[in-house]
Amino acid sequence: MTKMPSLRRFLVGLGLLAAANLARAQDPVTQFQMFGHFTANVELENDEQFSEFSMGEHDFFVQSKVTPRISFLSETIVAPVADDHHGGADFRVSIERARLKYQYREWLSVIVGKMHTPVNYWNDVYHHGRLFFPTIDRSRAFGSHVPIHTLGLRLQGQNIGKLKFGYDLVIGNGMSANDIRDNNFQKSVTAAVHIKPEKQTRISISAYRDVLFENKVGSHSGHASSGHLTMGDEGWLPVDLDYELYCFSLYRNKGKWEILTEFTLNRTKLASSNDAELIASLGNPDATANTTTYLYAGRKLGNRNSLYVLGDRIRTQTRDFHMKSNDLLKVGIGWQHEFSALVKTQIQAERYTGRDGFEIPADDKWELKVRLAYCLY
Amino acid sequence: MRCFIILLALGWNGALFAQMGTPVGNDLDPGPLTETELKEIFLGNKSIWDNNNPVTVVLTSSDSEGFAKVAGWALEAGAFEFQKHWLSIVFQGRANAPVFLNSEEEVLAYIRGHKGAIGLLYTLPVPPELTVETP
Repeated sequence: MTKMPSLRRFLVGLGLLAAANLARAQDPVTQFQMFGHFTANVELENDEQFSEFSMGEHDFFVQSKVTPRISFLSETIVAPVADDHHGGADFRVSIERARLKYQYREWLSVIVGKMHTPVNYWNDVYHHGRLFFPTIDRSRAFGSHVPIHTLGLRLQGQNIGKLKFGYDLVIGNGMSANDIRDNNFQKSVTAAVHIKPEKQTRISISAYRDVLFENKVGSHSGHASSGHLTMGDEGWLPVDLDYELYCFSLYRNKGKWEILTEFTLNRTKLASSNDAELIASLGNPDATANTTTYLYAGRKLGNRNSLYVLGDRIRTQTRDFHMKSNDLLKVGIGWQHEFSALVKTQIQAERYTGRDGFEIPADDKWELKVRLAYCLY
Repeated sequence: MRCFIILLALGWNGALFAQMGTPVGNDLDPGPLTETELKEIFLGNKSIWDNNNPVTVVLTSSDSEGFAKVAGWALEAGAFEFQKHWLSIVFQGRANAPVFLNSEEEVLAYIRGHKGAIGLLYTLPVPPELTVETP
């Protein structure tokens, strides 16, 4: 066999590289985008005042049509972590989505990987994309009840028939799992359907079921807030919990008005995998019924401005093994200006309140926030 | 004066001006495509043709006149809203990104080389082999 001279090999390689680049130039199938945001906040609570500037997570988004039917999507975030050392700057990196999609027909796509659990509009459509957020903060359901990620298998259909019916069926690692393992046979199940009866209108309902083993959550839950019972808290028990979530979302953007309504109902009860004596000793409690309600209504003022109001309420029953009881309400008013489709700012005044008599005391504070959100590509 | 006010009102909202361009495509569905079906395609609501070719939407760049015209016709909104619409559905992972090109000449050339690709022309004539049948 004749060995190819190194110069010739180099030139052939260069030619192949040029051909590959030419093909890519003719067929731009990969998109890279970077989402980010900055926020300023002033808080008044119990006659005390706080203020801060903060840098938000930076979200590197990639979408690529690998073949005509197969596409890849990933989202990696770099988020600042509080570090009070002199000159300290610490960040965490997280792969938030990495999924491969095979599209067979409009009515069937198969998706594998880590994805946003499609339980409600917020988690399915916005998640890290603050450029798309209608209000500065996520809805309270996001940090309390919503299993934000699932690592697993998803069947999806969309835009079926006149009503543009869509469905998502997901089976995957549950909320007790992490990104590399799930130490049990049981899997979480999500079933979601939606219709889009008009342009920019979507109505969706969903059901989600999982078992929280030993009342622990891993990297897919988003339940890291102080509103959850964790080891060491009074009332926390290492019991297995059946976790159910039912969601309703309505989004509509028509004419001068944009609205988003989200409602979640979470039911938690002791799982049958617990010791029967333990269940009996706890009084064989019924399933709890915890709710969140989020309302947003925005009125466009010209092409680039809008004025909006929001309401966000969370209610958790007194006896819940997973969450601390509470009854909290946030209302607000805001103004949004879009400099372009890729940069916008929001100013939002919020009043936090609630009812006392629960494990989480009622809020009593005011906040003023300013957000700048952007996308680069 | 009355005509002037009407024209001013029409000009104020580009959506009212919106006319469908001439569709141009390469090996799409057999049979004619209605205007409603074409709108759905340009809104990202169709991803596979009946002949199994994948849908690739080809648009001129977001700051072009052609893009604004497609926006007004398909979404009944301005270019700004149309760009946000596409950004959002791609971010959701529910649609593949459109191909953005600098001119209608480039749009034609791209479509000629890619089965399932579809665009709208406002200034150039459509070559017979790339004509999309409409009712």
